[in-house]
Amino acid sequence: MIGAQGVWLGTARVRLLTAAALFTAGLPPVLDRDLSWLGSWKKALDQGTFSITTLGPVAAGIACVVYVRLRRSGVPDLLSQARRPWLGWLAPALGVWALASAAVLLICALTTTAAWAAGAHTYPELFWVVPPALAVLGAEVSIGAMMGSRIGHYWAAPWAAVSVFTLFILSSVGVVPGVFRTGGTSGSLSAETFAIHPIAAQAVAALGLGVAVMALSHWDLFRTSSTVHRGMCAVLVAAAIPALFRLHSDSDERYVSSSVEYECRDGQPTVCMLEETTRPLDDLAARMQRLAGPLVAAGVALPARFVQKLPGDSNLDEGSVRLFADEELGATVTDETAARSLAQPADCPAYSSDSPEDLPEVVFTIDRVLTHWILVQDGQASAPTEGGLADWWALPAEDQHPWVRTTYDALSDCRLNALRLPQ
Amino acid sequence: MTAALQAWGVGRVGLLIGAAVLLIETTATDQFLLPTFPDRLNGWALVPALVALTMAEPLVDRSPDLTRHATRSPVVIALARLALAYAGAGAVAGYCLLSPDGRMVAAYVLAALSLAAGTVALTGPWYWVPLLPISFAWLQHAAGDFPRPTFAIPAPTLVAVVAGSCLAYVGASAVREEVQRRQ
Repeated sequence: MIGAQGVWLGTARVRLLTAAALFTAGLPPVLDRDLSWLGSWKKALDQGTFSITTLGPVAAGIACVVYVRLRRSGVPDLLSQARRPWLGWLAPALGVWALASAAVLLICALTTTAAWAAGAHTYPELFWVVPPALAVLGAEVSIGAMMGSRIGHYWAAPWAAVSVFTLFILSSVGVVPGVFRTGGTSGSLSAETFAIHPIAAQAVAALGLGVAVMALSHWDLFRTSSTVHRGMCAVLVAAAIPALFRLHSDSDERYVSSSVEYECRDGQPTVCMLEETTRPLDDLAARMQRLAGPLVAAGVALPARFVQKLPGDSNLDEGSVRLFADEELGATVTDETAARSLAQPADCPAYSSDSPEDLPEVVFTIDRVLTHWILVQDGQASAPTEGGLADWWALPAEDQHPWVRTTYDALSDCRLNALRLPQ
Repeated sequence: MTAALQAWGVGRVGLLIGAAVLLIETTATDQFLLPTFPDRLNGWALVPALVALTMAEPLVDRSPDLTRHATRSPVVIALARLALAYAGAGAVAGYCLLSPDGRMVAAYVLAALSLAAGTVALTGPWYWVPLLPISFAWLQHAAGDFPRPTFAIPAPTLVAVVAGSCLAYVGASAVREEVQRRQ
């Protein structure tokens, strides 16, 4: 019976076209402005499941069309004479869900493969987040099927799609529990992973909603299903109720902190980045090791390692890799980024202070001067000829070295109140 | 004509106008953040997307056999369907004009329906399939800025877009009708 119902999805060619349309519909959330997910495999996987944001509503609309056709063709009356009418009624929805799931899996495979090809560290054990997302997709398809069956007119298809898309928006902004949000984050997911409990609750809630909505799509046929089927539906619906209460709208709940691993490039200095976001590491290390030359020539004691820090981390023995979010996920960094990192040889606790006694304002000026000095020595920038420090900038490099050494020592020891501008 | 209007969904158009007014009243001035969006989205941005996805539905010919046997020409029928859809969009656009921020949105409501009419001309009853991902891309693009003056559509451009889509829709309807008549 299930196989025979596949005919409601059309010929093999139509099914292929449907899958292609679903795949294409899922691309806009994935193809964001700068494909930043190429820099993080976890983010690439999350972006792949996020494709359900637009793919799901389209699948719901297609399911709606299929069930309008079923309803108008008198199929429920025929099914009521069949041996397993309920399975026959479910089969077209399962078919649409299977096609949509194949499209989601293909998108996830593409995003994660592309991130891997771009040099991101892989975490195949995290593929467990895909089945819960497919459960959400199933709930969306069931909503479309229910609307098609109940309304019985083809005009309901765009309404089904809009309704499901609206549920995504309401889930995302916290008006309803976050069942219909299947990923998407602006962060890099470095030192983070997917939270098992909220995502499991999301899957249970989606399954419960899905079976409840399908039962409502044709209650008479559902009543004729076997006791086992009805019992399973009742269990899933009962499990979905606490799961819905467990789900919050807080978008950050989907992610939790994970263990921190680093990948390093040895040299003078050694440069380390979080394992998840090593895409720009080779470029950053090469630039920092080249730009360290003028500092070494000035006689400063460079820290052995510069490390990408997490918020709240503080290590006086290591320099800080200072990247903006887009640089963390990008393929390359700029010389200015490399110089900015070199200009912070210790991650002093005072950097996160609001008190001018701990963090004097001159620190920010000195940070800019030192960064610019490194770039000037490397020929990447020209020395300022105006302003209060113009005389100092005009000095030969050897005469600037004492200030550079003194300043770097003070920064390395976190003696921020000892910092002085060049005279 | 009243029966035809009912068959084309005049009641649903009325319902959609009500839904759009409700949307404007409840969320138009709200700012909210959607996943992966770099900036907050203004509720106004939802209005053109909603109109494009739903208000174009009367443009779809759900009963081509009846249309083939109609006494009026397919061009007149297509124009009547356009009039119904634009009447709905016009009502929403008019309501937008009542708000100081809504002037820009009103132009986008009409432009969105033009895009939807063009899509109906190309894909018929499946028009909403391409429009949904396009709507998401629109929301992404609009986040942070819409409805600021940078989004302004010059009046001649808007007129050209509306007229062009109407021509495309009427032309496609006439061609489709002719093809079916020959079969």
